[in-house]
Amino acid sequence: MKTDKSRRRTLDTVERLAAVSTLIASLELLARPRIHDDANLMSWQVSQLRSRRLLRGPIGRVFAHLLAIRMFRALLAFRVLGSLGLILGIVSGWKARAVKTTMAVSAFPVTLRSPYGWDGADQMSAITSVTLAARSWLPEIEPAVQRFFALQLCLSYLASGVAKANSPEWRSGSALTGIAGTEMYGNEEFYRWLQRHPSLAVLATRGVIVAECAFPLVLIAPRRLRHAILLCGILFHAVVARMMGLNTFFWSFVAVYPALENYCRSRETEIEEKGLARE
Amino acid sequence: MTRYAIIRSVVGHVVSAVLMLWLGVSAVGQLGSRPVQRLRRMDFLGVVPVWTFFAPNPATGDVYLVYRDDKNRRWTEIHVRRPRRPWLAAIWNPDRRAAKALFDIAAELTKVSRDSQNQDAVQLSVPYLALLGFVGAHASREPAAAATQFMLLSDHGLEKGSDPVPVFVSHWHTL
Repeated sequence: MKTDKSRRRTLDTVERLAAVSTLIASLELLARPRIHDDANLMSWQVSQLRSRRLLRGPIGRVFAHLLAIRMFRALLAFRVLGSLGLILGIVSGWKARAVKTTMAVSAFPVTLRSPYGWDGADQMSAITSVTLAARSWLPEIEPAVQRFFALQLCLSYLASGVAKANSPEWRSGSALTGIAGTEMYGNEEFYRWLQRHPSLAVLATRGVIVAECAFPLVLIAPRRLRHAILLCGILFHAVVARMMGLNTFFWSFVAVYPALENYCRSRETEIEEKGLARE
Repeated sequence: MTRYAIIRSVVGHVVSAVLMLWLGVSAVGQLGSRPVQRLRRMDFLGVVPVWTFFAPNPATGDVYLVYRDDKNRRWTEIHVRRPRRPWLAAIWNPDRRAAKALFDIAAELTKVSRDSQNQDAVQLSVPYLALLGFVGAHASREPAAAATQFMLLSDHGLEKGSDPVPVFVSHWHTL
């Protein structure tokens, strides 16, 4: 019973933090409305040419209405209001379920509108909102939702770490300096600092690989070590937001941390209880 | 147990199983093998995440888009991103979308161009058409221009020791 309550509270926290990511992402898209115009880089008119299914048939007709520029902006405005409602906790009951479902249903079409311009934060955000909408209709799936979040988060870091370990640029230790040196994701002060300290740059680059690959150890680590790993993860996202300008990456990933912590804690409790029962 | 409770319980179990399946598919989706990548192309909604942030090929250079028209043969840059990111970008960064979109388009276009046997077919690819539409909207601001051409360039970011190098040059297109 106590576990159920703590899980519910944890998933409510995940919901609020994830809503911050959706709020910022949707407001940013509304603040630069021209980028989705038909003659711009994220044009739906062009990107729908990717597949016949996006152009023709009943699915094509639905998308044609849903993703037309005015409707798309209305959808973004709804996502802003919906996330505000969730953050402030001013919607409840069936209204909250309706809001969460609409936000979940609209999460993937937003990224469907163009294959360009999105990042991992948008993917995590879509995954979170779909799963939390399902949870709002079926509270009995909360244990599965919490487990899914915990393992998906571990998978994200592990996959990223393994991909980096397979990259010659990451292994050689030059990747971090290279990224820091770009206008898009870089930071001049950080870049100059890495240039002045080449051995630290190599250490930091390889450190990212090791840290990402080792992150799933959080699932079996003792409490103190687990908390240290989670704290390092949060700090990593804060540094990435500051140095690379990936602001929603912070919110959408850190949002899932409480689910991982509570999942580990409840497993710990289960093991302790089993041990006591045996004694 | 009422019929409603039984149905709820069954649906709950099915949804829980779907979540575990989603996790399994997400794990398989990270593999770089060709069959997996072919299947991934069918995932238009992006349901299967790509968790390989900045790997295996990290973005270690910037991309520039320039165009010219038949009346003015000098290349002109279309500024898609800001040269310096404001400090506030850690909280509020609406300009990152356009910069990332141009980067994604450039990456896909150079790949399509490299892999394609027929270079004319590249003109019908989605990244090419996206750039053409974008450049066309800018170039048509010159009233006398009748045709335009665009080019993508790449450099080593802040290391400005050398000029950006062309990575893709388009055909001429009537405005």
